[in-house]
Amino acid sequence: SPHLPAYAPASLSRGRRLHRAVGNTLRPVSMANAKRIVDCISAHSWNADQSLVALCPNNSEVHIYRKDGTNYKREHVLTDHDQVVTAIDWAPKTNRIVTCSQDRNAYVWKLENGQWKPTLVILRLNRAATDVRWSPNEDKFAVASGAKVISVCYYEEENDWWVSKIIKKHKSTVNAVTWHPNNIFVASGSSDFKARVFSGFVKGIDSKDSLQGLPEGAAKFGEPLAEYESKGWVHSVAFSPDGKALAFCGHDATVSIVDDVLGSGESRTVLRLPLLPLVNVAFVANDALIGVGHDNTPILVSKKGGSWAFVKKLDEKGLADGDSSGPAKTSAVSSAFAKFQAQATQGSDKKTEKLETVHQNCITNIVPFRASDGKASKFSTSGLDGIICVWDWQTIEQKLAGMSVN
Amino acid sequence: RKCTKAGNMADDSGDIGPKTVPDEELLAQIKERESKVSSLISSNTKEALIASLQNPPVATKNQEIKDANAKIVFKVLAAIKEMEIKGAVAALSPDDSDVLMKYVYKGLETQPKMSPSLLKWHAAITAKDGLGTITRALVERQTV
Repeated sequence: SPHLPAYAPASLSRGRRLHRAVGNTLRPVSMANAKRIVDCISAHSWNADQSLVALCPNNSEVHIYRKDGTNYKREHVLTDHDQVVTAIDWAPKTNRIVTCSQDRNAYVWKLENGQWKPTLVILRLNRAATDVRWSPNEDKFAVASGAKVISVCYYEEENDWWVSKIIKKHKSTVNAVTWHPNNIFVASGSSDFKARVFSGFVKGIDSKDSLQGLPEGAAKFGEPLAEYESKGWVHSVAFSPDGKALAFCGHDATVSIVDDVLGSGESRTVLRLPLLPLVNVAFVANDALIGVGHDNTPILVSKKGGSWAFVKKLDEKGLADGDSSGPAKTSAVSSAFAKFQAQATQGSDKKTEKLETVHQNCITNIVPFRASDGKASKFSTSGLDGIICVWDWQTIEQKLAGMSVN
Repeated sequence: RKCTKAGNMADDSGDIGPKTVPDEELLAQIKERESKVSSLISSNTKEALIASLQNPPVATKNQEIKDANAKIVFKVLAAIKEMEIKGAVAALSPDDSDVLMKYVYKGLETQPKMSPSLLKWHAAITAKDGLGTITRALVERQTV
């Protein structure tokens, strides 16, 4: 609902606007734009111009909302899945959405006459699908699953259907999958404590020319090209925009970045974080990695100082600005409302205090808004609290640069 | 790992997780550590602590070996007074803090008499190195 959430800071109810950065704290108004849309979000993805967002409210449906400033209006509800939709990816160029679910299926959705039409993809999985990503050229997509395999799917013109090819080699659930900018390499993070890079080369879809300069094994589909160990389950993997670095985060509260992953891949930095584990990571630039997880705040890991290091939590001293328009409720109704909302967001009705961070519970997804060079000026996060927050990375970066000079 | 090498894959015997080290090697390391710590413990407790935390015998399933090493660490912890805990923790590298946190949890499990001081150690380590040390103590499969 579009009214001001009950947890908005008190200063807004007194009619004052949040002020710009003060001293050493990151507190500018325009840095984060948060909105609680549903109770809990399991996955989300934006279209090419960030006007529409597809999300799953932790059930078998996919909702498509239109973002208009700070308001979100629901436009479509897609109900073909039978179980929780675990991942959604919206291809910016071809405007197709791929969704995968715990019902072991994936659907590719195409917009026809204002309606989203699904095409079922036979993944040949006997366990839930956990993650799905379009390849950079949007001609293939990879699905990670609890069946300990990755399913790489491509479209076969002659039969007008999506065919899947299986990559095995994992010893446990594959939690996350991502593509390298060269459209060939696929990286995966698994509960068998390893992050791996495979070749996702599909004859007929990928050309022989694209193999130039790549290691020998790259021509064979499913060929394992690299393997990295972690001491905790690997929750997420990400390639940098230039494809030179691979980052992955583990449940042991570490994040590892492998520089030069296409070459020798020998240079690996393991950062022990003084935080709770990260659940998802994404590069916003070649030297900046944002991680999100159980600390309810995005964190920045940067190479600006010469080597990779944890810089800081981005959500400090409460950036919450939510809706900066509209009156706030100050009646007894709002405190009762806050109590129930606390129960929904934090799982307990005893604590009615809002957490200082924008997110009130674990952040599970981060989606960078990428320009054509792969770098992002903004990114959005969603989590178990049902909040979607759009972060202005450019502004944050400037503030950080200003602070370090001070 | 070189991109063309996939050698490690063939070694996987189906067991998920890190590899083990032969027991004899570990026993030898423990003996060495014990003598080093004994010599330091009366003169420089900070150094003794750091020495006791190096290369813990995590790569084995043999509980006796782990207990033998734990004995050394607990000896040093007992020798450090409460007032000195903060200073001793400050001298530790992040690696050592992680190992010490694991021994704190092991101590809370097996050494009930040490609980009050172990809780102080726990607080000191968390203050310095954050919640990540606790997470790693709980998550890492190779335990001390």
